[in-house]
Amino acid sequence: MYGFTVALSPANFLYCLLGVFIGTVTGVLPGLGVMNAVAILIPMTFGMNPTAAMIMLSGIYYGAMYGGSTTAILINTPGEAPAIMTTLDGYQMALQGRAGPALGIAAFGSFIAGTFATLMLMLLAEPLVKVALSFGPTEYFSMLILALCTLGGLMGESVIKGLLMAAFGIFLGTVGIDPVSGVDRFTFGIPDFMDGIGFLPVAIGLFAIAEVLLTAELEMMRPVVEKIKGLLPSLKDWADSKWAIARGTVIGFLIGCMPGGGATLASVVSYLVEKKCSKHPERFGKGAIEGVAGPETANNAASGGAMVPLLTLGIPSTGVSAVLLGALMLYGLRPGPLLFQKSPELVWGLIASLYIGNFLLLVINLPLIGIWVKMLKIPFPLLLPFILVIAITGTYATNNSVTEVYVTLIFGVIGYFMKHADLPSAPVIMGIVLGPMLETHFRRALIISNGSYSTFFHHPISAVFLCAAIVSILYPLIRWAIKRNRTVATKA
Amino acid sequence: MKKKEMYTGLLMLILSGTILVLILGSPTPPDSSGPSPFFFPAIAALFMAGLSIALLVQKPKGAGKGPDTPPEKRMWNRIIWIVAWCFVYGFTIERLGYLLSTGVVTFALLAYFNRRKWFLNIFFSLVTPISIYILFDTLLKVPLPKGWFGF
Repeated sequence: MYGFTVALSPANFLYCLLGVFIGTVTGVLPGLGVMNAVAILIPMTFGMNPTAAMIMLSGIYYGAMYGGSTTAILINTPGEAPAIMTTLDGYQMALQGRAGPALGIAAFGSFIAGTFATLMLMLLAEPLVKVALSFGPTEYFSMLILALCTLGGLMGESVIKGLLMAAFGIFLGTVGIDPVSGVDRFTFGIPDFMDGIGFLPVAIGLFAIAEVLLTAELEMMRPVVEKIKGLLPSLKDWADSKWAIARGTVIGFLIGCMPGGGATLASVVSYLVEKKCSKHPERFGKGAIEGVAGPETANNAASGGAMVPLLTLGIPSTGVSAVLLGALMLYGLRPGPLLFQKSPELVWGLIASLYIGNFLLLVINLPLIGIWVKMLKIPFPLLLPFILVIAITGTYATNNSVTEVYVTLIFGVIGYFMKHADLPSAPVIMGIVLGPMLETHFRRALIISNGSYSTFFHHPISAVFLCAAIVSILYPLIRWAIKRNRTVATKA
Repeated sequence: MKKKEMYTGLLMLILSGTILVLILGSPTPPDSSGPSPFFFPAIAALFMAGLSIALLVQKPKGAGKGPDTPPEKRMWNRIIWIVAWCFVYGFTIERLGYLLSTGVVTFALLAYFNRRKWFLNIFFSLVTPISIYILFDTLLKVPLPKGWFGF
């Protein structure tokens, strides 16, 4: 109840409403991206109370998950990557004149999933925090290694590329004055680098600027399905979707909690499960409502699930939660189990706001569908300068530093080439955010153990985390070996 | 091997090599109990080098089944225009002031991407800087540069 008292205060309620609204707009407009929006808007929250800021930024996160479905259904383009599976059946439904029920089931499914995920977060938070409080630097170091290995490996198509980008991010995180010895590391005499390369200029560059450059290459107009009738799904629609919603909620939540899981993986798995479970799998791809209900439910449940490791352990499980983690650190807060003790107002207020935000999404979005359709008609050439200017202004406003603007632009260009080379950007951000924490825990663990590196394997929990990290790296190799053996056996 | 994997591998290998050379040339603090301040960056650079080599030697999926897909036609002129004006923005933001530099850059971008709609472009070039200025400077109390002309 304490959380609801915080979240329902007029200011926090307003920020929650603003967050879910901006999130939906972000999701609706293709090429904007939730990570871009969260990164761009962080500087605007500096004058705000951290609780209000986190309520707003989280609202953007799950609001975008909802908004992405609108674009997927109406213009066959996912507003957000997790909505990619929704295009398969959602757009077909729209072409058959059933855009309304598709949008409706996406909204109701998202609401059910979001509420379930928040409930689970509330139930799991305290036991997980109790476990996490018993961790020392040794366990934290190993847990961060595991997070980086699984996250780096799972984001993108190639494990090697993901890990390479995570290592690059860790290196970037070491730039600046070493906090232990005071030694200058890779600053090349630039005073703005003494405190390190901020995660925000890099995130805005890699996500916002790179995305604008990439979109500028494409055709900038899109056809929109405009006729939308009857947003409420019929009883038959509900009967067809009920199990898809139930399965999508559980799948999404579990995948969201896993490092590297994320909403995209959740919606893909949910779609495949629905197709497998269906008595008529041939309907999928031709306008099956389960093909919309499952993935849309899963991606919202996953964004709620991602809050579990973020709030309880201080470990991001997706790119967006890494940006949220960075934001918490910018507000001077230390993410992890101590957050529950030191900032209960923020944690419980945020959790309560997730319930409220999910309800607000349902209430405001269905009546506003006409506005979203109009918004989809805004030509990208008009949006492009606005996104660029607000991204650069945000970077500059963080520290009133032109150097950081140049860092953003350089990483924007790097991010553009990375996207063309299929290199994932999120592991770089993970590396920058988690790298300094990793180094600090590593050094503390060594000081406590009098310089013995074997300490990481002498602590049982730490040893389990490290072994899991090794397995996660070797997993593709093991899978390849098993596949090869099977092929050889079949041939023999 | 695909070209993009080769270029990525080579670039990252060169970067990690450069980092290692910089680390070797860096002075070690005299009182260094525990790992040196360059120990951790060195580990990161070694990982980068190892993963770059793995990227260079790995056999990509579908290798040998056909040539690389032809490179897509890229709109380099658009990319160069945007990046150039963004750097101009960075250079002028403190010199010309926020409102003027933002207005000029917005107009330059609109004039290129939204051609022949002069009235609309001028309108947005005026509205964009003013609205963002009000949002940051007035409402959020985040100061923005005034520049030589005082606005």
